[in-house]
Amino acid sequence: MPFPSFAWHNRHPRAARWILAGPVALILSVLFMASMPLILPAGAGGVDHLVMPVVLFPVIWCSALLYPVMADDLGRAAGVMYGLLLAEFFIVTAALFI
Amino acid sequence: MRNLSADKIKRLVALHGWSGTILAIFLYVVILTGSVVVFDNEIHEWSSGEATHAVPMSPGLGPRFAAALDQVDPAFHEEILISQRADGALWMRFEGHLDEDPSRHHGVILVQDPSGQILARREGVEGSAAYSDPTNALREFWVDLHVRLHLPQPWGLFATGILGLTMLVAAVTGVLIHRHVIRDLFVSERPGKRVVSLRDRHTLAGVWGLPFAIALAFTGAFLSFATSLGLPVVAMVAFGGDQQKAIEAVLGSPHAENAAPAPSIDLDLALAAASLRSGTPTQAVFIDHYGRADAVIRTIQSRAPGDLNTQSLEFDGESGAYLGQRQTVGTAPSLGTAAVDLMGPLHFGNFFGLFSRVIWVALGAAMTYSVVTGMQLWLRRRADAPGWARCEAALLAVAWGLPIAMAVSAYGFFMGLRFGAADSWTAWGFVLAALVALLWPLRRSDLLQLAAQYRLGLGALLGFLPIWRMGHGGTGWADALQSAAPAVMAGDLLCWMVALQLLWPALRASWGRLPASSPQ
Repeated sequence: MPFPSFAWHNRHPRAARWILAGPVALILSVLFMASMPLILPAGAGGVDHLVMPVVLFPVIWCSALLYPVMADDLGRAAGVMYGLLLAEFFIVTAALFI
Repeated sequence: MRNLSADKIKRLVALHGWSGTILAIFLYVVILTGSVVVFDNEIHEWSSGEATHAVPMSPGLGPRFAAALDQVDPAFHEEILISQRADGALWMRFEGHLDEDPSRHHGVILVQDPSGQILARREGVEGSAAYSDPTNALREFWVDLHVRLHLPQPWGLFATGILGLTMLVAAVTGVLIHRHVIRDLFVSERPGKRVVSLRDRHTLAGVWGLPFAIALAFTGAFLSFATSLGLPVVAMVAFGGDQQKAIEAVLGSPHAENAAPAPSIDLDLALAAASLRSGTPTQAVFIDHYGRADAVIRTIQSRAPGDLNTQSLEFDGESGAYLGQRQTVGTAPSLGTAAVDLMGPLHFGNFFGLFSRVIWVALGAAMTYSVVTGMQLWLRRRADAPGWARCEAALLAVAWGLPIAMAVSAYGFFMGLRFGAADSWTAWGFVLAALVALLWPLRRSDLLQLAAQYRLGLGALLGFLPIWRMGHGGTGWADALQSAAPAVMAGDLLCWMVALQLLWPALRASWGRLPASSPQ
């Protein structure tokens, strides 16, 4: 069952895949790197929260790029990706401006 | 991957093809140069003719270091790096900050032979022609081509980071679309030089190199993005945009400043203490604020058997007290430290000496071949389309043009070294040869003939390179072996072996055309 508000993605699969696997995947992974230092524990060395998001950045970008390519239900994929994007954006904005 | 639907496979094949094709030319440049610069230390030794590689430091260096200190202005005692070369010479770099910009180093580099005589002295601002080692120009040119494609910072690192990611996507989709990975490891090429034959070759090289491709693409993307994108992003969010604070948080804060004069301990004592603690000899020594109360001595120990990385130990410069083991990142071993420690050895393949680096070169060659055959496959499938038809000649020009341009850059380097302009001659050699190689196909349409010409050209260039090197004042084999620089001979022999391999078809053909010799 597709997410109702993301039905456009299922109607235009080619365009949706380009958008989700391109700019959305890039912004999602950069925001992942920006938001994770505020969530992850620092660890024994005091740097895990700073280092791990940078280490994982290529993996996250690659996964975010592959997900919409492999997904059959693009409405669901768009929902998941936009949801994550929103959550990351909220965390970063809260850290910078609140 | 048997569970994927036909539609998914089709999409993944398209992504695999496009991700490999859009940036394939640059990907090819980065992978081929990466395979070569795995031996960057040996390249430096071969091009300079000197035993430039560092060896474990021997006892009794204290008096030699003290003698060198007297020849350097104390303003440059702020940051000192010492290592010992295979020929016994001490390589020492003394640096200080003489202007407002804290990132601008001024310094002196001394190379001192075992008798205490100064073999070379260079002085100037970091990055200036007077300060940089002209014999290192060829290595630096090739390494820069691999690391940032000679683009300005940070764009060069962005570019190679994106290429790393592209390779990661191509490798992961490669795993997903191959239904029979194990069987593909032993696939043999179908005869007839058809598209399927090309696909078999691409599959074979690609599947063998897959785990390596994933590891290299991941670590390469990390190394490119870590400082160009990761550091600014993390600094912006967690440190209000202060990158210096972010660096200090990751690498550790500098020790408390105390500029009061105080004698620093003898170098030999520090080396002995470090070897005793680590159980391995010292490979290099860093000294911060020599001759001050806040002096710190940091040693880099040789890699212990079974260890992926070297240990770094810190000692108080005045009392010699042991301060602890310095982590690559952070203050204590943790997940982040382990992850970052894995990146270098996995990317550079230097964890098991020469053996692992040879494997890295071989797998790099397989990946290079896989990129080229992947591109050929892509173009053959579109051979009937008018736009794509000429691209195969262009691909040939790039595939052969890069090694040809690299070989000519070495010719330029040896020539430039004689005239004191090794940097510019190396670069001009590369650019001119690349232009000739790229324009060569314009008047020729037969691809087989074109490939044979490129092959002949590269073979001849490599075959003549050792003679050119020696003819331009390069070290001879006997002198090189005597001064513990075996890479000189090994480099020449490698050039001749590759040249012979490249010229062999032409030599065999010309022998076949010779009239049979009569017994009379």
